[in-house]
Amino acid sequence: MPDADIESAIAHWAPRFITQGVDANDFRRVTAGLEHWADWLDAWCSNGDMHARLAEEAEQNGYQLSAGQAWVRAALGYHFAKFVWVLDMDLHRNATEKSVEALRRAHHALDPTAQRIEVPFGEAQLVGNLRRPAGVERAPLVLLLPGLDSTKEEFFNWENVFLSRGLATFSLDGPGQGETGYQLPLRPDYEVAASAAIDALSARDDIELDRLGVAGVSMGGYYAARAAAFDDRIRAVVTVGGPYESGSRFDTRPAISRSAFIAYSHAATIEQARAIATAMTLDGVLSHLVQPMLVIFGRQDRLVPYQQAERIVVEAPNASLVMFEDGNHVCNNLPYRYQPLAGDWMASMLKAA
Amino acid sequence: MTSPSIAGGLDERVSSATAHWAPRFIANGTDYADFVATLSRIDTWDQWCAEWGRTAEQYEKLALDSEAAGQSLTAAGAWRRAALCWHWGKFVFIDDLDQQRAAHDRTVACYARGAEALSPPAQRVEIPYGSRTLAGYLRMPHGVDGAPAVIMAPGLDSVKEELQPTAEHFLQRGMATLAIDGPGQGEAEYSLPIEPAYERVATAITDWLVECPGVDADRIGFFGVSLGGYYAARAAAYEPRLRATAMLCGPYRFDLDWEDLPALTRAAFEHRSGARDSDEARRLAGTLTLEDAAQRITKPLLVIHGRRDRLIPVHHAERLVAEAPGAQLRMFDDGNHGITNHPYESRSLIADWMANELSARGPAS
Repeated sequence: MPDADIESAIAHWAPRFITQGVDANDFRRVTAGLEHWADWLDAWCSNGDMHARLAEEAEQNGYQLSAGQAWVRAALGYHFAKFVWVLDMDLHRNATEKSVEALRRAHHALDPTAQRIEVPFGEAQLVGNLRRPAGVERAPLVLLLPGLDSTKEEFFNWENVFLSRGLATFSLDGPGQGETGYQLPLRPDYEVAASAAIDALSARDDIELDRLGVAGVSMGGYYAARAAAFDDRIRAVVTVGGPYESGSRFDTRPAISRSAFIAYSHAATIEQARAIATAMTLDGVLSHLVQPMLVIFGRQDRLVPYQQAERIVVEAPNASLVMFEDGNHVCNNLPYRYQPLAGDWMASMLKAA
Repeated sequence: MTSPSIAGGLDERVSSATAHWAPRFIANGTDYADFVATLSRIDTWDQWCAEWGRTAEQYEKLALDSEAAGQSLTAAGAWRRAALCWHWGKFVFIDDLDQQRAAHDRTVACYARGAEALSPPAQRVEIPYGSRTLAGYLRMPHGVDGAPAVIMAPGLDSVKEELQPTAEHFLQRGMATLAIDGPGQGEAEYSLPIEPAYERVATAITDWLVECPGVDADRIGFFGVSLGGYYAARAAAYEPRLRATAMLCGPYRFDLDWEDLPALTRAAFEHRSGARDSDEARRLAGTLTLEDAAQRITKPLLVIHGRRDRLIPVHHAERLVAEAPGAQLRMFDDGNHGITNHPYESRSLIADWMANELSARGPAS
């Protein structure tokens, strides 16, 4: 019998994995044989390895497109191997590095103008990937913020939602996220990292920072709201499945997710982690968030109660809410609803800005 | 109309559908969550068509709303999904022909409404065939002049609209695509029965395609899936203007494993072949054979098959490859029918192979 963590993982993550580009058959094949949560990382790394082999074969045959698409899937396999799997941080880091490298090779094949940008930040650095839409000289930019357990390597398809609508994207590994997370723990005042990333892009002449938006998923929705409230260079905000606060949810989170929170906050004790979660709140922040804001939410979200989304739109002066009755966390069971909605809304806001 | 139920309450045909079709539906563009949600509303087979229609109508509404808001990309995606859901409602649902036809009309109409906004656009064409015409979708790759082209044949229960996700693999590699509803398929199935000598169709399409502006008449290939794989092999044997052919999970002779075919498949064949009864259907299935054709296939033929194909067993592919001088076999050990459980591998493989054979080049970047 699969253990409880495995059952929880399989039951809740299929739509997310598939939306982000994991093949539906792969999801079933990889998870079908799993019994113990301890085996999760190896199983998904093997999936990543399989796609990496396909990618290398395609490269050797000169099939660049097939290679690039296989590298995207390899990056996702390695990413989902460790996204909330924190049992051994050396193995975690190894998978992260493979994911980063696989996506680099995907960019090389599919979108050679993609750029890795390292942003000095204190004694460490933030890392983001900049992609620009084809045929647009100075594109508006959308800053894409991951959440607790997502990273820029998960966002290739999400980026395409905006790129296909003529918007550039900058997917950021901020504090507590992806390759940045090993140096920097997640922080409630994420806005300082978002502003540093925007600063680093401000001298570029191939994007138009007068038309800057931010989009955040899950806890990234909280980060996006903070970023916009404290940085008026941001003209529009989209959040999908974003919380108002994290403290009250700390003890009711699924065990896997709580372990990830503890690891990514570099907390020494569970009390310390709970205190960090409690500091993550939009109380007193949203009155500053005067830019247009679209809050997308699923009423069936079992990680964040939908009332938190309703509270956000009550307190943010210029926010509107789209609630999907059947939607799960981040509405990944309705990708064709939330993705075009977010993309079209952001495009209309930034093109009019 | 009701269907016999099995223990547990779930209709046998519904449980068969759930078990076997998820990979195909998803690989051809239906969202995973929609498949799950739609199937969860279906207990008996008689609900099948209507419930897929309900899912389709949600997309139609999304498409109309997006059109009204000027969001053409979103609208195109929603029309495409709506068309596909209507298609699933119809594809082997021959229990109520009025309902089936109505669903199919919506497939055609929804797809057509979003076709221009696809990237690249899909242009509806009508190709003379005897005293009639065959409907198809022609798509030209971005940024390529004088493009090679691939003719695409659906199978027993697929249609030109369902083939478009596969077409996009060819398009991305610089090849034009022309997916056709042939006799017994899609728009033609109401007036033309399945044609065992499909090369007649292939020749009519090729005649039209060589005159098509923007297409390089010397670089035309053919792709067919399932029963369309049989059509592809017939085309390769008898139509000399075809440079290369890919046959995905097609039969050598359609009656060889007749008794083992799912009842839905046999019923669909009986209907679309114009047979009067099941005995005649079986006899007609035997006329779909490559026995004379195989040895005539001297140009490159890529035969792709899955060892776990439960519709067309692997001996069909092995026999063809043994007899056809131009054939080579690529076997997927755990591949299902259509290799839709490994779509990323099978489709890239076919498109890369075809691009090589037709000397296709991707768009200048």
